[in-house]
Amino acid sequence: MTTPVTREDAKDERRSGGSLPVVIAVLALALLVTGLVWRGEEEPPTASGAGDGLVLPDARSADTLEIPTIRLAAPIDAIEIDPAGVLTPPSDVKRVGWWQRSADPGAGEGQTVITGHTVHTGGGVMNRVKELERGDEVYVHDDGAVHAYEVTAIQTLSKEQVSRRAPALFGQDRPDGRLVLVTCEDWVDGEYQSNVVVFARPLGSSTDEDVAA
Amino acid sequence: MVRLGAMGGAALLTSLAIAPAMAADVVAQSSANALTLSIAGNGQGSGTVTATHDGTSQSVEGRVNPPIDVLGNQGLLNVGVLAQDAVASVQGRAGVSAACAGVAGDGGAVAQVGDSECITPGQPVGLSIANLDLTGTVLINPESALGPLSALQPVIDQLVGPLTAAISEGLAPLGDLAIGGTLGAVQSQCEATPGDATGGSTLTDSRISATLPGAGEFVLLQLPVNPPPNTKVVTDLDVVVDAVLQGVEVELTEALTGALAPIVGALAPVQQINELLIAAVADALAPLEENVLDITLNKQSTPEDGRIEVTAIDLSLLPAAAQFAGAPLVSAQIASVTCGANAVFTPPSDTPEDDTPPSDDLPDIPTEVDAGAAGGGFSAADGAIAAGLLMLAGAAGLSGYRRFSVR
Repeated sequence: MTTPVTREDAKDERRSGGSLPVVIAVLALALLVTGLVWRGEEEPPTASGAGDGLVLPDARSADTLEIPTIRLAAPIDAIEIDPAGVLTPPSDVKRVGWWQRSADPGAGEGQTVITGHTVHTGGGVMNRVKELERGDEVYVHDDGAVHAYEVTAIQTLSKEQVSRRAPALFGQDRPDGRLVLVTCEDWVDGEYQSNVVVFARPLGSSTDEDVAA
Repeated sequence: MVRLGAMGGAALLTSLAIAPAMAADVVAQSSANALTLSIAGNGQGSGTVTATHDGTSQSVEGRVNPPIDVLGNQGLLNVGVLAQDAVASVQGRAGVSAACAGVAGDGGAVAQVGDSECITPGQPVGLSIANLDLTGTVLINPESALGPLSALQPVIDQLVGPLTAAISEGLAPLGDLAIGGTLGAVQSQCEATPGDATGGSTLTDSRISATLPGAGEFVLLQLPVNPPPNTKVVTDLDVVVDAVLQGVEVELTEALTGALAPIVGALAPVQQINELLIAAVADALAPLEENVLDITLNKQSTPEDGRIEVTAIDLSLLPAAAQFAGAPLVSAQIASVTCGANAVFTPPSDTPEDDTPPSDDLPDIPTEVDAGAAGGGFSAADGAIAAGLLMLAGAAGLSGYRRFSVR
């Protein structure tokens, strides 16, 4: 399931300039591949608490967003929108923000809204969120529990579309406790033109009786 | 989509004022003052209206467009309308502010701040800066002005008194030199956004003049409608001094050939005495030939990045002229505004715990997600780790190459 850094990624980073660490890392990876016996398969996420076929990773002590397919594991901070209605992730681009008036992770209703930065020169916590595919799994570690989700859709929306569809994207009048991940996309002339929005349906939580059993 | 506040560690942030997410911080600010007068050190005027915005709400202090009676009893300006207004807001997350101030005569009208003009002209505003008292200014110094007459010492004392009296009498009709003028509409306006502030002034049908009884009005300067920033104007009163001296000469000649003729007739030719005394009067009036008023039009300053201060007319009576002034020292600032420095509002985003109660003032849902940054994605530690990995991989590659070669 694990996806190494792709060539396309490397091209993107080179185009962006100022991404020397990525270039170095890619070069290092290539040398590793040629110099060492590749051990083959990546280990899947450490799992526990299996039930009904749902495999959950070990719970983490800190609140964390974990997406194995894109190697994302980031601490979660609570965030709030500003008076103008703008939701801004934590200024530390390695962390993600959970909109504190959205549903708690694992809630049975509402929507859990989590956002993180994309950095066009590389290094943003959600730079690779656009690579997610339907069926990919997302885990949210919250207060010692693990909540699992499955990606159902990935959409790229303009600013105007996000604004117009805000009630559907972020409103809490939903019955299913959907997870919504949001970051930016389309860096043009010094501004991001779009948002990438990922929707994921809840699969279960470590607190669920059938999963924990 | 991304705005300045969301650019993480981008260098842009260092060049702009970023307001932390505390409600007490000012994100946008401006102020306006239609008129401030200082007469002999006593200040009066329209007061100042100040607008500030802290990211959640605007606060306005002071009086917007006050009535004319706030000026109280003052004779400097015959103002009909006072305009002063200031606004501060947050647009997107940028602090935006504007201000406008002005004066106009009766019939003038006040428009909204932010319009291209915040006041429209009515009747001209009468401006009365100072009345210069010339009658007491002529001091005859016998040792200098009448030095050539020293040989006539026995009669000198007898001579000086009547001559001084004659000169004073001669100046008396000219003794009320009024400096003033008329102003159409005078206004200043400014706008500011984070890191940037602009402003300017306009003056309609405005001029400074001097009025000498019996000699009429001398227009000292016609004020430009759109003066460049910090335009200094000079009120050259040469023409006034010339008029005064002509009057004195006429009076002296009449005195010397009339009532004083028996006293001075034997001392020196009338023409010689006349020239000497006129020279003395001219010396006494010398300060008038210099600048009487210190006037700056469209006075602008930027005390810090993103802030501008504009005054349409900054006027003061220079101390050099004060000795002539029947009125005390005067200074005036007409149509003054300030805008900025503004900041980008940064809402709380790094709250580690979920114990912050949501504000009732916030929108119900986000309408924009500002999740893009211009840079700052890699830290020095990232670079160090990558470099270390490169070295490790290089060593591993070399080892693998050797192992492969052995086979």
